[in-house]
Amino acid sequence: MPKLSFNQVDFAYKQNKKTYPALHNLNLQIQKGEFVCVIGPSGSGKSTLLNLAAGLLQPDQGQILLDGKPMPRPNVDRAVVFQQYSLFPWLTAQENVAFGLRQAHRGMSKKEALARAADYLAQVEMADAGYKYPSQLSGGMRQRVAIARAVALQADMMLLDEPFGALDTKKRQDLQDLLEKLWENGGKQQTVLFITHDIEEAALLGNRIIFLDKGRIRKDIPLQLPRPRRLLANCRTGEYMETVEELKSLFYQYQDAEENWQEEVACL
Amino acid sequence: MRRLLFLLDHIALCALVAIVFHQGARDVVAPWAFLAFLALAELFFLFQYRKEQNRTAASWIILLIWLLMLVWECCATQWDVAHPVLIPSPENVFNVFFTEWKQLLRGLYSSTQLLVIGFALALSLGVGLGLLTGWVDGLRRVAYPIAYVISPIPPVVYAPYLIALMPTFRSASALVITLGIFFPTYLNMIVRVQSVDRRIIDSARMLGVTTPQMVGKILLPYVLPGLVSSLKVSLSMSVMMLTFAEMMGATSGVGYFIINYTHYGNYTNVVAGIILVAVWVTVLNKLVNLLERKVVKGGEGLG
Repeated sequence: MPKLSFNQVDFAYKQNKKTYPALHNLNLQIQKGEFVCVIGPSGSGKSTLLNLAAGLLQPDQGQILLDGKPMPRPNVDRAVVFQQYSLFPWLTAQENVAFGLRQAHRGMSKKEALARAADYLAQVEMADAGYKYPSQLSGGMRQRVAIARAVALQADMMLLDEPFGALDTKKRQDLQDLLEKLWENGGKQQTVLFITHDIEEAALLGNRIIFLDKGRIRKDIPLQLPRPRRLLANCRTGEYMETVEELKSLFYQYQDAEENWQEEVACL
Repeated sequence: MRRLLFLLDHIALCALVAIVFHQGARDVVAPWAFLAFLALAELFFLFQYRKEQNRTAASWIILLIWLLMLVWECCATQWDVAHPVLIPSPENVFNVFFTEWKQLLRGLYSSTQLLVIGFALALSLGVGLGLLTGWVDGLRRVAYPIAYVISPIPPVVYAPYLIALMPTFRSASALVITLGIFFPTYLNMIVRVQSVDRRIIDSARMLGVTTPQMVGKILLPYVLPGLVSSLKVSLSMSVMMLTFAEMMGATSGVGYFIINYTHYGNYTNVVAGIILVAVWVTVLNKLVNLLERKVVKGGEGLG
């Protein structure tokens, strides 16, 4: 039984009596423990896919199953990291993580949650910044805290919506490595759905790369390579380079088509 | 330049004090209260002057105050060119704080009490219900249009009616303040909830928060900084409504003090009452500022 399955899912945004289609008859099965990267040009419906998987949106047509059951309401069994601003600005880094912990474990005392939050912050190398508010942290540090909060939930499924999209190259690399490490430390048991528009990122992280365009899956590429793929020995193999080239040509093929449609959806 | 200004301040002050002691055209009750006020103002000025960045502004402000007092003192006491009843001498005005302090203090106490009750009631109801209404879609669709129609009615329009309607004056003025503050706060909260960052809401939803949690732990802290800064506006609005209500039919309070002596033509007491209201509102605003610094955590980037 797949962890998550989309069965003939249609979704369109509605605004001012106009509809902006985002996903068309989408079929997708994700198995437990898969690290799936969804990639595509802007307006391709990547984020919509993630929001549906999170339960934040309901499909217009079709069915989304989680563990074989209809998608329940958003809850702590799915950890989400957004591109930015997913932390609560009125709480410190540590309190943000502790908030998540207390949501996941009802009845946990505040003191215990804070203590455990400190452990999770240490895992993302943010042990010294627990007392800081998000406004006092850099973009990369905020994402570390957001990841710590997501990891602390110990959810079966982790959903990340371009989590490193706003970061510079170095920080992005550090965080990619961190995420990979955390996933491997968890015994590769966690199912990860990772949205990105960065080809390198998808090829570095994904066990499976899905290319999405105008709400349709155009390509589904499995990529079982040794990790960490940042090492030259691991990534300079034919398969890695082939995948990158294939994604590049897919971007070339699809990106410029029907620009207006894309812009309209991107505005939403 | 700054030294010159400082010198000018003190020349003006010395001139003022000298003129106060000079026997003018009009007799005064006692100059001591006025002199005490001058001393207090000078002390406060020197206190502010210690800080480098305040110096120029503080010097100008105090200079303007002394000049105003000089004009007032000269016109009223020395030359007697001003109307003796309408423009009382500053000595007499400040003396009211000594002779009538009991009455003033009682009025202030009564006004502050009403203000706090009405304000707290309106704010807690407005914020609590507003956030809930903003969050629950079905509730908002019903309540928002109703509130939208009621809220533009100026409170001064229904204040006299409420005073006639309610059994006691105090309950009436508390109600006037409550209603006057409740509706703007309520509407404001509904609108603010709509503009809360989608990603914050989604993050909270993904953490499985319940509706009470959403209102109390997410929406409230999110809107709190904006709420506290709008508090000053609501505060001056409620002072306005309270003093208006007190002028309509009270038997105590600062508004009553002022309107009562206006009826008697005792403008000395009236001017003293107006000065007291200015000080009172300033102190209240300062308290709100303190609250703001205490409450607003996490700094910038908040809605």
